[in-house]
Amino acid sequence: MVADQIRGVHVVHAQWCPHCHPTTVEPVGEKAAELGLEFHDYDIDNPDQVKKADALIRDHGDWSEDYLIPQVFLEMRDGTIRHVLTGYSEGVELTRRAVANLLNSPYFRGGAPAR
Amino acid sequence: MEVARSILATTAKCSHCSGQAAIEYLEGGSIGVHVCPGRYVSRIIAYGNPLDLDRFREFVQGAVQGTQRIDDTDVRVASRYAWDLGLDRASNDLILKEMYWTQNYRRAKSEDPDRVALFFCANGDSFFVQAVQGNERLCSKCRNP
Repeated sequence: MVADQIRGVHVVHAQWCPHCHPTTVEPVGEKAAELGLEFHDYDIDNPDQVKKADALIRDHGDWSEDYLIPQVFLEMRDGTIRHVLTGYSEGVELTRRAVANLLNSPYFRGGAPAR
Repeated sequence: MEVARSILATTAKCSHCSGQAAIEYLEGGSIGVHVCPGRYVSRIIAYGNPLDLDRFREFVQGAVQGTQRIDDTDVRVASRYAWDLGLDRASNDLILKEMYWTQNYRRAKSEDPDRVALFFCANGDSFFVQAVQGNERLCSKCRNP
């Protein structure tokens, strides 16, 4: 089951970003709550939170100096972090569809895919 | 890769004319160009796994023909997986990566109505530059064959 493998969900976002709000942070947060997972969000405009956001993305995500948001990570029970989604620069509709696909994927449906 | 690219072949609102920018391909499909009916380029995208940042930056540098310098900071990357593309695959590993260069964005942003901008020839195989409000849809080679 998913709860056996995932401890929490981390999302890097900004309040002004339409790919983040209401497209990603809210549905991912709701799904995490529904599954009883920890949920952590990092606002890149918050000086304290951006340090954690930068570290997450540099170490595990799609890093570039002006990196794309949102980016979503899963924290597994063994302590590993998996990057699972980056927003689509092509358009908000693609990001919305990708979030829906992610939330309907084996990660959140019951059992993480093997890597 | 082909299936993933078709999923990504969406239209986008053009910042130049508020029309719809559609995607056209170059380099055997490894490069996508978001271009509006006026041929303004809103975005250039590289697709692959892996991708070469230096090669893509040089490609965009060539496209803008000396009108600006393209730095690493102007290129952003994204990983696309089977689960977010909605592909029903036994393996959920990385399908492809994308690199984006967006025209008139962040560091290079300008509101100057006379600025020089990048356009994509209506014949679909070359870039050209003209004033952002210019009406040419063809590169100079196609205008003067």
